[in-house]
Amino acid sequence: MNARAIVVTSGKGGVGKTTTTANVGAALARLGEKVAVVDVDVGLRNLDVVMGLEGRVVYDLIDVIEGKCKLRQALIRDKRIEGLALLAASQTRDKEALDPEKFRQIVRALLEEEGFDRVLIDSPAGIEKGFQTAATPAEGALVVVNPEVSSVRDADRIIGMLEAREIRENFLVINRLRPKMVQRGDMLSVEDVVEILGIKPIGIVPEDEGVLISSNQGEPLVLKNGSGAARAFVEIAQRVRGEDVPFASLNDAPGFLGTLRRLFGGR
Amino acid sequence: MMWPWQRKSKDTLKERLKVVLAYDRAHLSPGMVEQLKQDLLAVLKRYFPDEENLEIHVETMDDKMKLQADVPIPK
Repeated sequence: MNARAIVVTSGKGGVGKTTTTANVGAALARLGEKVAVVDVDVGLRNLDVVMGLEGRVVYDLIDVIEGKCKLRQALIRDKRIEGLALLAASQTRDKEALDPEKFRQIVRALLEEEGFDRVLIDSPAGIEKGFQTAATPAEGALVVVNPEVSSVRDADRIIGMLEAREIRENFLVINRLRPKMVQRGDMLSVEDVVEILGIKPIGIVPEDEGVLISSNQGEPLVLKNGSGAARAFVEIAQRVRGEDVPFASLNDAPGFLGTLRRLFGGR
Repeated sequence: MMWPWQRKSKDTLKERLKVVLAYDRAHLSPGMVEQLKQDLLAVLKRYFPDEENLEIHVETMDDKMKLQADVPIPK
């Protein structure tokens, strides 16, 4: 992706925005990028706990906007992963405290003054002000969708709103896919979701207990080996960086690879 | 147990999603379109009272929707 400021969004809550932000951010940093992950869910912050950095939050995004601290003071550097930093949302203020234009300036400062290669913005659920603010500085989006009715419908709304904002580099993260259910025809396949929503996937993440376990522990999943979801998040990071990674991690469903080859232009 | 003649639940979902997204994208409420259909049918019936095969259906193609009336004109 050419976009350096990327919003992670979904419309519906609980589909995996925060998990995606944390893990793609961590994976990008491990691939050598300098990455800032920013939580915009003012009043309901969670990126800090998912990443296990909650004990180190002193200042937050709203403090920076109100001039109570410098941007650099509010950045929490992840000691486990070189190049990864978190900017937490405020837990005690409401969404009105976050002005979209000021937020745009902060993201610009992260990229231009603080030297980050990439900023991942964890959007709140919904299509209201919180999402609109999160999308304001974005040049591209990861639209997280689960293969089920309400998530797909909400993702369609979000994609329409991103396009209306002229945010063009939008990709699907199809999360919580259950290959066995797809196989017996009780879950939309990757091909179905792509056909319905009309934008391309950048990652397919299988349902994986490791996701919950790692968030229990506050350890990024991508630091562990062997988990299907971890591998999928690393592959998303590689594709964000423009690497040509074949979609091969879920080939237990019949015709899965062939389907994906067709989707991606017959390689 | 899944029998070959049973419809797969994801196919039902896919069809429902295509219809609901077409309405969402067109900013139309399905109930309003249903009423429009009934009103159009009532008007057509006024002009062709004996015609039994009047049909109006909504077709969706990608993000476009069209209302199609099938009105055989009696000889």
